Amino acid sequence: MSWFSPSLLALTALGTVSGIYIGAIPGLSVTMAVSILISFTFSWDVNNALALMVGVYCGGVYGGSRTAILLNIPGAPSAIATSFDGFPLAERGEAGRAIGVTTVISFIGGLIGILVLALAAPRISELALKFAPRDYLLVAIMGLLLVGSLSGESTPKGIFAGALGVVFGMVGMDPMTAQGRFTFGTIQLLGGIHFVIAMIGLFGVSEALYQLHNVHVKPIKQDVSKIVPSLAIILKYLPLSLRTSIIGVLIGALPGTGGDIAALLAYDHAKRSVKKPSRPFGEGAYEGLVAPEAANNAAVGGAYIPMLTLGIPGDAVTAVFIGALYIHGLKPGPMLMIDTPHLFWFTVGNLVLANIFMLIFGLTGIRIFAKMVELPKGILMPLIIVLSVVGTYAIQNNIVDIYYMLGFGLLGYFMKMNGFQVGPIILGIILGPLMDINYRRAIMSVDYDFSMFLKELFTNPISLIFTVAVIVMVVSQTPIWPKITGLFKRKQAQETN
Amino acid sequence: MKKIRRLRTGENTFVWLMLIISIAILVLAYQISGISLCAPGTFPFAAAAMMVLTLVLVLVENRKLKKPSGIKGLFDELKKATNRMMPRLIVLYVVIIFAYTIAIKPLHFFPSSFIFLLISTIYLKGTTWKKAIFITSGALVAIYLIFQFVFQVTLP
Repeated sequence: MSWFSPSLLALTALGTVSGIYIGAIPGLSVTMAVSILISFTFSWDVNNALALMVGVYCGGVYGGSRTAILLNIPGAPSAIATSFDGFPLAERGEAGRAIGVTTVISFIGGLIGILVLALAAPRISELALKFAPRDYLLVAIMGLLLVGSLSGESTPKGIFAGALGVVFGMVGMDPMTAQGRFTFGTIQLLGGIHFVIAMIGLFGVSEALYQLHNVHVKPIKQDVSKIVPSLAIILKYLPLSLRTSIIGVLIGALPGTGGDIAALLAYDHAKRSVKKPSRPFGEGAYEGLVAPEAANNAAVGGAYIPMLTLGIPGDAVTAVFIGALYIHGLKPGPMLMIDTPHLFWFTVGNLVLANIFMLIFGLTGIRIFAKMVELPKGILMPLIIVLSVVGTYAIQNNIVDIYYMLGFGLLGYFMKMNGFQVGPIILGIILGPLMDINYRRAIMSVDYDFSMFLKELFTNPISLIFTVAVIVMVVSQTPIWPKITGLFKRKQAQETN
Repeated sequence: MKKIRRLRTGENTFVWLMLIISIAILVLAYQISGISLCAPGTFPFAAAAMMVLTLVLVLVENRKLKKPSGIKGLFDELKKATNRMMPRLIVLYVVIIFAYTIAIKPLHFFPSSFIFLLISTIYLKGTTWKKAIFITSGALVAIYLIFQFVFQVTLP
């Protein structure tokens, strides 16, 4: 199918404009939207389904900046850094200009991310063909270590949620021996729990219930005027946006980091590298707006690299995307690039289209946008519940799935109320079975000799790289890491003195 | 200096509850194939063990936090935790959601969804009947058009 077929253009446009609104409305997340969309689009042609979801993803990452600027409420985690200088700009009456600059810079960042994806992914994929099962196990572990950045206030809580997800992923028949696991002797559970049901419950229903705590908070009225920025302004901030886009795409490509971390690091980079900002950082500096927005949009292209080449999510949304690809009978990983290269280039083209639509819709329709964001939660949340019910039923046309979904929703709600994040559960559900199967294949390939398995982790060059990476990632999430980095910094300081 | 957060009321009770469930999962995982380096039960057991271990770590971590203020005994904590996690608005709304899902089969999707959306909009927003009927009807027409003609999915 051509990138420019009218139905595809319409779906990408629809996805992007919906994504902008979803990303902008606090309480609605891109992860929630993509999770629900999977269930509606699984009977579609894969290209159409992906076009819609890619649009929602790109639009959503950008849309988060809107409420960060206007209300000081980041619509998405990747827009947290945007609010640091975005809201002070709105307080100065420059919201329209800030939104305009953000839109154009997000477009530039997005394109750089896609360029890197197009250049790097085929090469990484070629390398991944040489991977043994133990390497996939290690890469999956790296993906699971994403729980570190999704943990919120406590790493043990994040790991617990990830492990709980692994347990949910194990429910059903063991794919190697057909033995039942956690089925309680029932036939219904032998097929396992469909991960989309868990996703809809955890991201849709739980968030809707959580948001009911603020159901009577009145939305703030907004005032937005002319937003299209001048060419001179864009050229002024272009060098910074290019630098921070590179940061964004690199961070986005690492399994375990996403647009939120990319944006925060880019903001930090801008603070350190810009000597004379337009205003002090934190008080409405345009540099503080440009850096995170270029980075978080570039991270979208970056996150696609491990997803398409290794089948490992770069962030929570790409974890859901992997689920979507599986539903359409595709297996993300190196073989995806060989068996269906057209799908890769279709995705690249689709991302470009979504970015173009993001630019168009970002610079227009701001008045309708302001009205939509003011929609009361008392109307929005019941609609999410109905959509979650429809989405769940659509998967297997089974009413019992709706009860499972509500169960996940309640679990997610109580977890959130006690400081546990639900994102790691999804990672566990998706990566758990992948780790299980590759671990057992790796052990079988060395005749059940565990010492040989361990030896190969350190003697095979590819495995060694991943083993070291896993060790570094694990250590970086422990209290030892600041001590190690502090030691290096002190040594560097001594050398310069 | 790092600000120490205050423990949420009932947070530890929830962690203990999850710990009990995790231990039960650990026992179930053990029953799959015992403790083995490569068997169907290896990963479930490892994951369940990780759940138990991390929850113990959470309990240790929580000991360093400031206690919730104004708690007088376990009964008082449970009462306050219930109020925090399950305020009347949410409990009643969960009941409404369950009633809606049960009603889908006998009443069919559109009538049950109409009643659910109508009640929800009035209950959560406090809007007038007229407005609620208008919003609900509009939403259901949109749902019908989008899901029947665009997504072409089977509605419950």
